[in-house]
Amino acid sequence: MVENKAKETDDNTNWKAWYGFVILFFAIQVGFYAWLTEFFS
Amino acid sequence: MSGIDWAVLLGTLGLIVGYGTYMTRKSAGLEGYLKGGSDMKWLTIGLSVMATQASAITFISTPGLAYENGMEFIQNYFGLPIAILIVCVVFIPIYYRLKVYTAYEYLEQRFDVRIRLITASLFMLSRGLAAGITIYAPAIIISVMLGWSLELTILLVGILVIVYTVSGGTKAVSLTQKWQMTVILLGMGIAFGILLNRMPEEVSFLGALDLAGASGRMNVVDFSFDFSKRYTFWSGITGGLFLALSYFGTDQSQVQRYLSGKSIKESRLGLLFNALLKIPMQFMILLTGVLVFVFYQFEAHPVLFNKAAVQTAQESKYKAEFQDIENQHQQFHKEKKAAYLDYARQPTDAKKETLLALDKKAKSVRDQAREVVLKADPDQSSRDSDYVFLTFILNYLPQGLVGLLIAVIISAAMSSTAGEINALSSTTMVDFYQRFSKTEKSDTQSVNLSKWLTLGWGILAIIFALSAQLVENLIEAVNILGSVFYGTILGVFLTAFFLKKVGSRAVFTGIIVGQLTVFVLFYYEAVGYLWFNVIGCAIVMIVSYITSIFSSKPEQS
Repeated sequence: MVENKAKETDDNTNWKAWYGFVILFFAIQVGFYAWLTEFFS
Repeated sequence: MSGIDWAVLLGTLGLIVGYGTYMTRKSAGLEGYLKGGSDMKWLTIGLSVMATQASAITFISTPGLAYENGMEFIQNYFGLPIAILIVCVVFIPIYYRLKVYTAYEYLEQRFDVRIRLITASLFMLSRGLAAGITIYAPAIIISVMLGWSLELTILLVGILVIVYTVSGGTKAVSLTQKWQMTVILLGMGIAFGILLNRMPEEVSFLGALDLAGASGRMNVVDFSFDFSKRYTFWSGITGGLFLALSYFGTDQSQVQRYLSGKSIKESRLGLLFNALLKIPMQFMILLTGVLVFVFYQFEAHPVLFNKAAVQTAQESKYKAEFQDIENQHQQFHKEKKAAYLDYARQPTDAKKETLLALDKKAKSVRDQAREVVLKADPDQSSRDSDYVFLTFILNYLPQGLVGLLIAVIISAAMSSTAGEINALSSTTMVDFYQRFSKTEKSDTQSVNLSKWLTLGWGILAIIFALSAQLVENLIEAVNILGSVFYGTILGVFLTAFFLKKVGSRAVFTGIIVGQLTVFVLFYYEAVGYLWFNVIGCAIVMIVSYITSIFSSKPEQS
């Protein structure tokens, strides 16, 4: 097998903040879609 | 299509294919061919992951779905962001730590070679069939609407994909997908703008949404616990979660995209890009379909959009009956147009009730027309919604943009097919050939063999697409086939990650019991096929765990 050049080590990115942002953005979208459904029904 | 449209279409496709082939013309060894040199940035990975998932059917069928039933389909994607977070936290670190080329390599390290081969084979079976359909499904629609030969359309898409996927491997796939996705987003954005611009003067953007709502098309989210409904918030975040987790975590056509990252950070960011943007993208595609629905309340259109179906009815002994329905539809359209304009000028609850009743009647007229088509030819596809968006493109977009939108559809077909045949050849090479080959091959020989395998899978996809026309409802059949195996594959991976004491013998029992149960459910049509993913996965995990507890001999895992 040839050598895999990709770095396996992690970095100092704040992943918890990223994951929290993804969940928050998803929750905001669901709220917006619920509002759209209600408003235009 | 006009000469300008042809120039735009061939120019766009030629540039993308030429770019992908030229940029990857220098051989970079097997690591470069299978993993794209592991130097991809997050944006390329993100667009590549998005392009692999979004097939041509996404851009043809999804607006048609919204035209027919409104926005509810968006809920199917609600499990996706959560699934991607799980892949980022659990799957990616393991794949990177073990330096694997395919997801299935990990299973040999965790269990044994038998489990690796079973899951790799299940992937190859379902994805191999799907690659043919990815080419066939848009080709049949494009050929009907543009009068092209179906065989030539399949060959055009298939050969273009083979050219750059064989020549440049994973890197060519990712680089071309980036530009394909750019063309797709640009084309869809322009179509959306033109649609808004062509609405009657009385109808603003908000007015169009109001009309769509009054016709029951703004049903974006439904929190009810009604299991008879296909799409609800709850089915999205349960069934949709398992489907997305299986797809992003264990399907090599996706795993290969993010394993081409420069680092674990780039891979994660590429996936998070999809966690953030996939739902808004689907929302915009569905909204385009809803606006097409509003648009067609003011513009005359045939009772059925599928030209081949209309022709079948008109050339049959049911011609007079079909003509009656068509006349009824045209007469009814005038009544509908007046009612919609009236509501647009001054909306009231009473008028809304009228619109809902008119929409119900319009659906019933279309159903009658479909029945006549099926009487004339039981083999004729009665699915008309796939043709709605393409009819709008061909009839209302200016010259040049028609070519661009056809390029969008063909690009989407090419990008997902390329991801699939690239992943199929990698799995064949790494999980089968390299695993069992006793002769040592040089790097160049390995790359050449990978190229032959890619070519072989490409030709198989074309052959399957060419013979697909013999089978009715094949698209649905392949979707079901995917769900039949996905649950089991995901169950094996989740057992590997979370049930540390379970060994290979126990998981093998789990696979057999899980897969047989799904086969029985499939045979008796006991539940909707989306639930196969959840049930298959749960049974594999539970049976593996119980077997490992009662196993007399301790296993080496």
